[in-house]
Amino acid sequence: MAVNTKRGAAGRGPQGAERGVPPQAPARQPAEEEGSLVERVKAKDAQALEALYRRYCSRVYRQAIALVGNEAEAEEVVQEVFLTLYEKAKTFRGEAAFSTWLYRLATNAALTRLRRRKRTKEVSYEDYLPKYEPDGHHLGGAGSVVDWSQDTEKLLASKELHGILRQALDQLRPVDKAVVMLSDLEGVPNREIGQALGLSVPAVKIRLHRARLFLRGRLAVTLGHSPF
Amino acid sequence: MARRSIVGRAQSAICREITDLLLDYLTGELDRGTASAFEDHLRLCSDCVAFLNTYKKTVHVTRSLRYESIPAELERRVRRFLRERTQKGRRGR
Repeated sequence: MAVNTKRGAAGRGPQGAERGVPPQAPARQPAEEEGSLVERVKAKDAQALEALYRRYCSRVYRQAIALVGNEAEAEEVVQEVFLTLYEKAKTFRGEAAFSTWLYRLATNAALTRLRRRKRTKEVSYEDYLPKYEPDGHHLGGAGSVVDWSQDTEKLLASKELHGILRQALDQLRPVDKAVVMLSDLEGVPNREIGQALGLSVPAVKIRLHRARLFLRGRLAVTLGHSPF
Repeated sequence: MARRSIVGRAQSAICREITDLLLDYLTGELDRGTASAFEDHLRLCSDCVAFLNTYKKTVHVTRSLRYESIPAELERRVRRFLRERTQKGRRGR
């Protein structure tokens, strides 16, 4: 069976292309080569596994560290992903891109670890989502929403805003965090995120939108404004 | 998700509905009529303009986050681990 490697090693959707590929992204390889490596791994070829590891380990690590937040667990995730690739390569039927299959393995391994953790402080999304008057207009009437989008440059330059945002990302529910990471950090199209996480495209979009609204509310509060 | 159309309701199109359309608006997935009604509402509602700008800024800041590359030592360690495990598997056959 032909292996679907249409998107190749880079595996980036339009959003990723728009933002530019970070320097650590693996070089794009001819699709046939990746397909043939996968076939060789199915035949238990350890060298082919190592070739795929070299190509994808940075991407898998980046995804893992973004989700679990520490090097030790990220290492476990990388180990688990490539060991699973070696042991279960035969279950990859090429219906989705190979990169999507890896996203799924990495996300599942990371989510398992996140779910094991004791959630120390449950943050309510509702406290940071927009609120409306009974007629559907923004709460507080005309002029109630502050445009703080131009006030962030200094904080961005100092990386302070990134620190605040990372904290807010850690307060997202694990699956929502995975959706944001795959969409906004890796530029993965919604269809592939859905395949990787077992969600429909509308469900991916709802989670992404709600998570972004929560993050927006958290940033607003940090900057001294109402989240609404 | 079933939505009521906002086409032709720019004056009354309520902010809650505009918020629900933000994601599709930014990815260009709204049909032309809805996108046009969305923009008509923005011309009348400074709150929705402020909300759109801050939503876009949030996405921009998220996209500018960078996570570190795999540390070289960790990369080697996992490679060694995989070699050992795959060799063990072959010996065990």
